[in-house]
Amino acid sequence: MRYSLNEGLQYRQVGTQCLVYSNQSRETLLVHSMAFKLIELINDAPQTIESLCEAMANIQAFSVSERQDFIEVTLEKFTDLGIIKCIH
Amino acid sequence: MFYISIPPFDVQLETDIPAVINSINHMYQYALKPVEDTEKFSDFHIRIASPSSIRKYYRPQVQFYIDGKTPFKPLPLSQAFPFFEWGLNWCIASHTYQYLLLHAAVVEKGNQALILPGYPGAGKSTLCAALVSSGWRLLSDEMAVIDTKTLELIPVVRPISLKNESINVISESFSNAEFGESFLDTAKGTVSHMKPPKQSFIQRNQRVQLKWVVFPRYLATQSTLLTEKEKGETLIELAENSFNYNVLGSQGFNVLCDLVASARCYKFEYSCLDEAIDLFQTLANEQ
Repeated sequence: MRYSLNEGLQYRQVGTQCLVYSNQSRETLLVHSMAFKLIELINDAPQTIESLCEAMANIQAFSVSERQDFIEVTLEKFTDLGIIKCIH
Repeated sequence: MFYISIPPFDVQLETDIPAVINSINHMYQYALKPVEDTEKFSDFHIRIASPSSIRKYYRPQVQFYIDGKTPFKPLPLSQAFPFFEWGLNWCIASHTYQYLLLHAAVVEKGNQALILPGYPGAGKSTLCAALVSSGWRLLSDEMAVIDTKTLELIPVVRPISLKNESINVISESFSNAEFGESFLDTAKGTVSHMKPPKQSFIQRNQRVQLKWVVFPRYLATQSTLLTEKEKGETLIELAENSFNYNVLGSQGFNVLCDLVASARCYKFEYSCLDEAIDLFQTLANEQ
């Protein structure tokens, strides 16, 4: 299963903080920089959980299980908020 | 019939209520259009009149009409002018989509704009009135109108609405502050309007770029404290204070991002107006 950004999603870094605007939920959210990194990666190309884990391994000092937990929870939340969608 | 020019809006007002006529002549003295301009387009056609019911004999009321429709319940006749002001706020907030609108006061110094957003009771109108009485130019007391293409702040020069204790605070502190009638027992308590300085009306076509976003908070025992605010949090709060952010969608988000990125953002706690004015003067001098 791969994830891609929903159409019309806007994301910007303003100052030191990261913001996301979902056209679907009409929500504006402050997101953690690591969650923001996930959005940037998914924007580059649709990603699987495994490919995101691999990409984040280069920039994070998480353990493998912590990294996978963080990515899974964030993707689930982002899906609920209409930020990303699953491509089956 | 009045034709009021508060760029970017033109308002046509029909009323035969003497208190409203007097207040309009006083508060909008420099914004009334000459008769030869009256054939031109008006954005809002408003009528303030007493509803024709038997109530007018024992408890007279006033009604607000926009294009012949009545979006609000009538109010006591004594509140006719504030009703016009509140109704006009509603007209602008609910019919304007070509600009981003924030619930905020806006003043200018040195060709740089200061936005004072805030929830009701935060003290933004009091601070705005104090700054305007101290030489800052009034762009707007009630809403920041932002050009979505140029990010300029557009003046909408109208009376500053002050409530309860702030009326005495401003009238006693600033001898140059000119007030209209006090309206008692409104939904917001006692309300009185401060007339914008003539210079603000003269410069009402001069747009300004944003320099500062300051969230004021009046606390009776608080010493003056200005602290930097993260830009992301500033954007979230501005979005919450916007009248039409959600309608503008991603355009609104990008406008706010650009606006906040270029501004210095603070939260401000105060109880002493003199200290507040000095502090903002220092900010303006730092340019």
